[in-house]
Amino acid sequence: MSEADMILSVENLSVAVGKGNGRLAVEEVSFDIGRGEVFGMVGESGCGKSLCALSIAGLLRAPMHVAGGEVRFEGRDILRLPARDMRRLRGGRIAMIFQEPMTALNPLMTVGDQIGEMFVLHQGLGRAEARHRAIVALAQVQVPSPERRISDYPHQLSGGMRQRVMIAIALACRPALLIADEPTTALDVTIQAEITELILDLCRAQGTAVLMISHDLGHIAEICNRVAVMYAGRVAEMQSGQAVFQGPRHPYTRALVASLPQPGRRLAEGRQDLAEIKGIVPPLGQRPPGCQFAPRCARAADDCRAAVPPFSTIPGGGKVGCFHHD
Amino acid sequence: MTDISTPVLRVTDLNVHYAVRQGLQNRTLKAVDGVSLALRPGECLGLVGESGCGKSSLAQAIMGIVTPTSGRVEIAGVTADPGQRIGGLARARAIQMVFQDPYSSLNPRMTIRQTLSAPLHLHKLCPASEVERRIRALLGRVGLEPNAADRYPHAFSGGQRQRLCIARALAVEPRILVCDEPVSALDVSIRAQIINLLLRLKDELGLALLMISHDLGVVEHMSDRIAVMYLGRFVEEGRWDQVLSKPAHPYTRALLASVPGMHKTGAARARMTGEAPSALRPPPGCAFHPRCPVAVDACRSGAGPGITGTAEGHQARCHLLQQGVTA
Amino acid sequence: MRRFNLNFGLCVVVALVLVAVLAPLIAPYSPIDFADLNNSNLPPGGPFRMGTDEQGRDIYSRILYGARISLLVGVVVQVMNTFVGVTLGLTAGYFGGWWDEFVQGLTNLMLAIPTIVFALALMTFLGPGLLSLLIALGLTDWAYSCRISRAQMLSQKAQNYVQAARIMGFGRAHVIFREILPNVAGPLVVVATMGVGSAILSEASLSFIGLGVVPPTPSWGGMLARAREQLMVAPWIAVFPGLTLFVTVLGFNMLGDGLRDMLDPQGRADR
Repeated sequence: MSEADMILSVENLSVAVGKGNGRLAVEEVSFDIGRGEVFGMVGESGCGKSLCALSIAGLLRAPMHVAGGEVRFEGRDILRLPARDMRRLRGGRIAMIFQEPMTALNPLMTVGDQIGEMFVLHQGLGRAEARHRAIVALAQVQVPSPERRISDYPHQLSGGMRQRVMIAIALACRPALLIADEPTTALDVTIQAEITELILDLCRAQGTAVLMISHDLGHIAEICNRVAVMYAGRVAEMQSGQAVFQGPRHPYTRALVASLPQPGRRLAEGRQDLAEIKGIVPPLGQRPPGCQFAPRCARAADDCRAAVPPFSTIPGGGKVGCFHHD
Repeated sequence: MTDISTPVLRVTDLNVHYAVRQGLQNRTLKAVDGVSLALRPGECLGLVGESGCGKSSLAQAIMGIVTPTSGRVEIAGVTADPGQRIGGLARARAIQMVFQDPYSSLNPRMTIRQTLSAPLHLHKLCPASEVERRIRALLGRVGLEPNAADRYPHAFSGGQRQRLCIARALAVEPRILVCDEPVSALDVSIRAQIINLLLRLKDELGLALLMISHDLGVVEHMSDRIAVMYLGRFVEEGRWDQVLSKPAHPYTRALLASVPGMHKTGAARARMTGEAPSALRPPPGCAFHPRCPVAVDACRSGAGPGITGTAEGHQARCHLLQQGVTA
Repeated sequence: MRRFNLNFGLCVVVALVLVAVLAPLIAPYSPIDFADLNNSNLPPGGPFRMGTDEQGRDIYSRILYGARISLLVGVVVQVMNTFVGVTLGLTAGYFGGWWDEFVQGLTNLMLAIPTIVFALALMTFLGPGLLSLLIALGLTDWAYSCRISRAQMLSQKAQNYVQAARIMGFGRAHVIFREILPNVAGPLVVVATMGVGSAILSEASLSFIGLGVVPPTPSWGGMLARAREQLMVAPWIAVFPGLTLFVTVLGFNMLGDGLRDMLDPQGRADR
């Protein structure tokens, strides 16, 4: 992809906890997202995927702070943008949806006012026009009878409906990038697929790129063009969605795929013992030097424990950060 | 293999109803509505359903944490007194539970030794001189070092805590273990450890598992039988491979269709729309009809569908099955 | 600041305990018998560090001995209050239902009537004296510890370890007092500590109006009561016991504050 097609490029982003360079929760993460692309970030809790998202949106809170690197959005370095410009960008060109819609919505405002606010704030529309546009937006996210729902308060809606409202708010101003941080994790399995499809359909129609964050490798692999697998603050590997699940290169991803009780697997192959990954994810502050996965890795050798492995490119696109990858 | 042995847990026509005041009206919330099940030693019954379908209420009624409105719970051949909450050391010895959140499941002010020895003392399972040996054995059984006994829960990770919870449950040598989403709060790379451990215990100790989970991958991997619950009722129950490969109820088909990677073919047809209605106002007729892609007029009124057997040990509640229509 | 609270409070309380225990060794005079009317109402200085009262007794010695009464009343009363409040609060929170409503109603009643009025009413039944003072104060000031233990119980009850203990077959008493109580002890200790200060103050108030400790036993409240008539002539008779009372109550409150900061999970570095 050429430079011009990139909407977002993150280069060597590091996030630290505490003063100075403190302890690095995210270390030198680089990736870029093309116009209209669906890019996935997957990893376990504490791997730093949400911190990356918050950094891009300029929403990191103390004691977390960006310790290094660059985030370029539509050619501008947004990490050094004044807070006022960043606020204008957020909600306008960059939008975000979170896991728990109830905490992101204002419980004292009707959903109509909350959607309409976006049009008033970012497009300078009048109240009546904003209200009208809010109804259209609600209809777009397939909320039944939007003219009536518009005067509901968040607590009157179910979890799925709230997430639809969040999507309507996020996509109100046709952003160029939507950051979706575990948007379906809090929802029931049966609704998850519906909500995911809704997000992808609307974004495809508007040409909005999506940064989709999840802990569910199978889910991410299915819907994303490219996926970055994160482990303990670093990118382990980056590949196309299908490849990361069917042909993982990094020992961590390989072990993870082998350890998952995948739906349909026992039916097809009979019960096979799940391959366990020994040990635990190293907590922040106890991360080893060298490769983060080395203490749990079957292939680890002395070089893994001595230095952080550099990325090597994978034939067919992608990169993997391992000395002994396939 | 173990099918010939008698069930160690038998639930017959269990109802758990709550009276709920809504405005001026008193409504009845049927959290569990006429559920029957049997669980044999060494068997794992997977229980799936959306949140609010009554899985947890069913588990709590079986454990004796809530009092069932009616119905019978037989544990190890003894009928549990329905009026009694918890009730009796015998029940505690026969059935134990593992919770979803391992972080709040261990008393933070007690060492692991205290946590594990208290049940041994309470149930007088061994002389005082034996306790230390038992604790070591329990810790070994769940794959932890003996020195874990001296530490407090906060020194352990989520996966290790879940092992400790399992060890505590095993202390009384129960015959049934009820697991309420035992891996969904754990890191993805840790889940396989706990799943393998539970399966090993099932095989080695002949433990009967009631496995509640919304993760169909986990349920498929672990279960011998699968029960699908919708608005307080079992809508389908059967051998794991029958339920997964020949789902009889439209809801089961929709559940399977919602999982990435599973049943790709025909998924679009089975996909349902909308959300589960509130258990406070269940729709008339079959409770699933508003979301059902194949509902007919008979589904929309009258009593809910009865149970139809579709194969040996495989049954579902659907009008279409009763009419012999294959959906 | 949090360190200062804790340290100051600790110093005051330790000093108070030392004084109470060692009073006979430190006090230069007897607190009761030294009734030489030639020495009455002497200002501070000379052989009498804090002066003498209208009966010629050494104020300094009386304050030292008074610490015994204050500490005794403060601790005994607060132990009684905490016992009553915690038992009611924990059981109300655990069992809920009519018992909870009854306890809550009682708590609200106790909060609506000033403690001192309640204690006064009880004292008129029991008559003056140390024992009736302890009973009266020990049964009237438990509303706060009751409320806090009830709230703590409600949040702990939702924790899985409580359910696990019940499923294991443990009885209610074991679950409430062996499993849950250790987890809620922190905040209760804070409330109890602060309560010691207010119990000492209540004792002083009751002694001030003549219902507390019977003279000539030295008590700070009793001393203040006597001093009222001499306030114009010999203000030191009032100033020193008043100051001691002030510092003591402040000390207990700051100790409580300091303990709360220490027990606050966000303030701890090791978690």
